[in-house]
Amino acid sequence: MDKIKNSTPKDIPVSRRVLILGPGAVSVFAARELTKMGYEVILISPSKNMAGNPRVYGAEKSETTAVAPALIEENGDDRLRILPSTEILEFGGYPGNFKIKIQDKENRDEIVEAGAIILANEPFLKTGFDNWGIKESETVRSLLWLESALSSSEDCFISQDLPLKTVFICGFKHHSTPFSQQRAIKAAVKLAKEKKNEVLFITEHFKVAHLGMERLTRIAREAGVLFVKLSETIPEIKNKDNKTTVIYHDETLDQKIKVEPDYLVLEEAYEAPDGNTLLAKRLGVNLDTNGFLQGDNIHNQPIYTNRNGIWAIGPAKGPVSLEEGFEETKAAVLDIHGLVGQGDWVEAKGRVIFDERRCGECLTCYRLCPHSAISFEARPIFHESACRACGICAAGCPGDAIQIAHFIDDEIDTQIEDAIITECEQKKESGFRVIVFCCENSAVEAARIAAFKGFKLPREIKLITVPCAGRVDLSYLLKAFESGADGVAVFGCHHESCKSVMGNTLAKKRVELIKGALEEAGLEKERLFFGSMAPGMGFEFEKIVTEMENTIRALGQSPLQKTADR
Amino acid sequence: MVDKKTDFILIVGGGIAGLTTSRELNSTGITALVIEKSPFIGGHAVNITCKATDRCIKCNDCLVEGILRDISVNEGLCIRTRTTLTDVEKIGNRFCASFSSDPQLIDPGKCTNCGLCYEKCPGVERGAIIRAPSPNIHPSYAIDPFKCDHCRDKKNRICQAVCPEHAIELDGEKESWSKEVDGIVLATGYEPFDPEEIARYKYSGFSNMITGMDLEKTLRSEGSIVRTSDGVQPEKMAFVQCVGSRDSRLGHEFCSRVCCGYALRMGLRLVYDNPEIDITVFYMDIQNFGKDFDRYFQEARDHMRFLRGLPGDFYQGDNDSISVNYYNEDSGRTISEDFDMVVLSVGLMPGSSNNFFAETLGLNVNEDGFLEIKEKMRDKGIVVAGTTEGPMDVSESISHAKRAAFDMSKFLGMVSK
Ligand SMILES: Cc1cc2nc3c(=O)[nH]c(=O)nc-3n(C[C@H](O)[C@H](O)[C@H](O)COP(=O)(O)OP(=O)(O)OC[C@H]3O[C@@H](n4cnc5c(N)ncnc54)[C@H](O)[C@@H]3O)c2cc1C
Ligand code: SF4
Ligand code: SF4
Repeated sequence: MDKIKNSTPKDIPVSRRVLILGPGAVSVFAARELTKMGYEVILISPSKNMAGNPRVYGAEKSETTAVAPALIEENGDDRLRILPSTEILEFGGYPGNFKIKIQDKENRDEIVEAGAIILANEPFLKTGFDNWGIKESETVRSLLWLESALSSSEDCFISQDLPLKTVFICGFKHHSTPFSQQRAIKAAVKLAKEKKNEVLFITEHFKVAHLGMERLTRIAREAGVLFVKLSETIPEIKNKDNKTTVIYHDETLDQKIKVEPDYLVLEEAYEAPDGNTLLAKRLGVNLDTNGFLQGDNIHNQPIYTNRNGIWAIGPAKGPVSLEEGFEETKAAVLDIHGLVGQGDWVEAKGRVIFDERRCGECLTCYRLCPHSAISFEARPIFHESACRACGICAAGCPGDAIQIAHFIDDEIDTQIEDAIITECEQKKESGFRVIVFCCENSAVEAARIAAFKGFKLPREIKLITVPCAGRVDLSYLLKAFESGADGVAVFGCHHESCKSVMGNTLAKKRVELIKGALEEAGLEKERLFFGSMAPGMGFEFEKIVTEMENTIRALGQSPLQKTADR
Repeated sequence: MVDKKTDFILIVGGGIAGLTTSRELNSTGITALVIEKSPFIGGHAVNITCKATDRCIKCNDCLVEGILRDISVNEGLCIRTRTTLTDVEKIGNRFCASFSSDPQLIDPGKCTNCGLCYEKCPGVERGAIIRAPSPNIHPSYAIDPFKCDHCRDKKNRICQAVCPEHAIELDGEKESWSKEVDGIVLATGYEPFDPEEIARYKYSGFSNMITGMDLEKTLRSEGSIVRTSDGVQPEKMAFVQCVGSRDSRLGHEFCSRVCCGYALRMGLRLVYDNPEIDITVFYMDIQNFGKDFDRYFQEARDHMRFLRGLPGDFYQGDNDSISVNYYNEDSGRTISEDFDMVVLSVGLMPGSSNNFFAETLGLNVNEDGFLEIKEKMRDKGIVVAGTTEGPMDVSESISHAKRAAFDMSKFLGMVSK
């Protein structure tokens, strides 16, 4: 290969401004922590209300009033800009130096710079009427309505004659949460204790995995709230002429029970805000299956996204308590301080090595990079603060213009050749040789664990470390066969677990592609395969390697081997 | 503001929370010493198993390995195992901490984890040399001075002679020492519930009754589970949830938060390994656990039987099975069913050092027995990290520990610009 030109190190101006996406107590708390530390903050929210809804966290209004509005009033601080009814239109730039186009309600737009982004927007509380196919009425109410009615002076829960009957329904049509149940049970206790209501609470599961909830259910029982749990059936709700009937199958009594409550209260579902899909697309951040702003990938735990410089905390990831939201705020602020708190950086890590002369300006790298680390200004520019050195770009580049430090093509080629040559001697005894490209994040770990437990890798099998299965390009696979390997494998991460989102998928595709080529060349396609594993699966590694050993042993030497022998 | 050069933080407990805190403090430029009472760092989380099937089911085990790897390559961290805190005194703005250390015997600076000592030691069966649960723990081997022949009667020094790095010195002595520190992070974690406390389970009476922790450890170290009594793979298993948690008779009015998650995930893993296996889960309520709860719970329901209500009694059944008595809703009476194996999903109980800290440092334990640190104590340089404060999973322990590092750096004036 020609001499490679290193991308020149340059000073990167780092913005000490942080953009926080609200609304809600957690976003406000983050803004406060950062401004206290001397950072500039832009706090935006697509809604008008910046303080959000404390009920999201199962909290009472009074518990959050202390934080949110107080800070919003502190807005006199010139380090803090609070922008309600503002959305992110376009998003560009790199960790330490993002450029964000925002737009307010009057369609005025503006480009702001920020070094880091915190996503802390709150779930949306969706009332349950539609799910149950009924309408809100005098007798059918949402938990939100009940809470505000209970805190207002007007009293509609006390009747002169008989005590009123209230039925709560939590869950069934959606997964309930400890936070909604905390609210529901608190309201139930109030009704039972203060308003002397007869209260029936129907749910699938008590969601008690939250501080104080177990105790709260006991307090509710002592206050006279009657709890019914249904495991197999769903209650039936009818609402006709302003009369509500709830029918359920009591499992302990094995009986159908019919109640006609004065109030039926339905818990809300905690759903991802509507705007998330568009926002995620603009930010280049993956969503989870429920639409929250943190992709379902273990590498994102606890507070990360697939993009460096963008943190997803607390409510942005799904229902959480206020305490957890605050904890995660501090965790993210600590990281951000590490990223942008130290002043300008020199980008000289040189993880990506780019050879301008080989670049055909085809934009492949730009399109492939899962971490949005490449920009294009006549030629690709690699932003190391965003780059995770997976090498997906390098594998994709048709001109071989990109190299990843420590995993240079030449080095890998040498490793392939070494594997064949050093094992040539053994080949005489054992008859075959196999090359396995192992992803550093999974297979290499699994191999270490297997070795630690005493697994002896067969001498015929040689492992070559790659930064991500996605780094393995077609030429590696071909090179391995051409050099005389009798079997080749790529071991990467499980589906949805690739640190670089799609490295494993790309590798699998390439393996399939070469399989086709192998068949045309008269080689059995079983000689090549893709194995997936988690980093902790030492036993799986052992199993797959053993299977592979047996397959190749049975197939015998590769017909290509003769041409390769020198 | 404290003189930055002398900032020195003590972290008590080398579990995932303590280690994360030390890593984070270190990256802020603060030196921390981690003391760990057991021979290995990592705490309970290093014993839990990856529960991936043909895909990752987000149990967090690999996060633990990631942190252990970070720790092993970070030269700036000081870790001292087999050490406990014996006393703390407040001296002006600082603390004087006293420790007691058992001899380490293997010098981490020299050891290369080649494992020769482990291979050659005649006392491995007895536990004279033990191996860490993960290759990411350095040193990966530890000598137990109480089980080692040499340490007991000064006989042979096989390991010392065999170690090519001369990393082993068997003549170490117990040591008492003290050090002045600027702040203290309490990360002593939790204790898994001991089922012996509930007579009804007759835990020690059945060889085929294990705890969730036992199952985690076995799946991690062996890759599969067999019955202790006969070495045969179980075909019919029961998980009993909420063992020790949500039990007002024990005064444990709290949910341990991780047990539904680990039991169902391990159940899914067992089903994946053996699709014929018959798994029953006795439960009260299933708690939402982690990301993508809906999907895993639905999958668990498709492959396992869920029975509401915890069993009443356990008896010896035929062929070393365990007869479980439970209330059957269909027939309206108590029935008895045999299981090859029973797994008790034990909860997270307050750590045994909590009361000691409460007394020596003037802290509060909450109603459940976990340490509670008020804002006031934070301002005096004491913070908690991880499950010392209450039940949480690994991912939560990590962010909680990062929060602890943040509070501590703030206390030291290190995070303002
Ligand atoms: C059966 C079971 C299964 C689990 N499975 C999962 C799972 O699949 N996924 C998940 O995310 N979580 C799981 N968990 C929870 C997980 O174990 C905890 O979240 C995690 O271990 C908490 O880490 P920690 O550092 O707070 O505490 P610990 O792991 O308890 O660490 C505390 C450390 O402090 C040391 N120590 C204690 N006292 C002292 C002292 N006085 N001086 C010095 N050192 C001391 C201890 O030796 C220990 O090393 C499981 C828990 C159990 C019980
Ligand atoms: S190595 Fe991966 S993260 Fe870095 S620029 Fe290339 S594709 Fe993007
Ligand atoms: S999260 Fe759990 S299941 Fe997934 S890879 Fe990590 S250890 Fe394995």
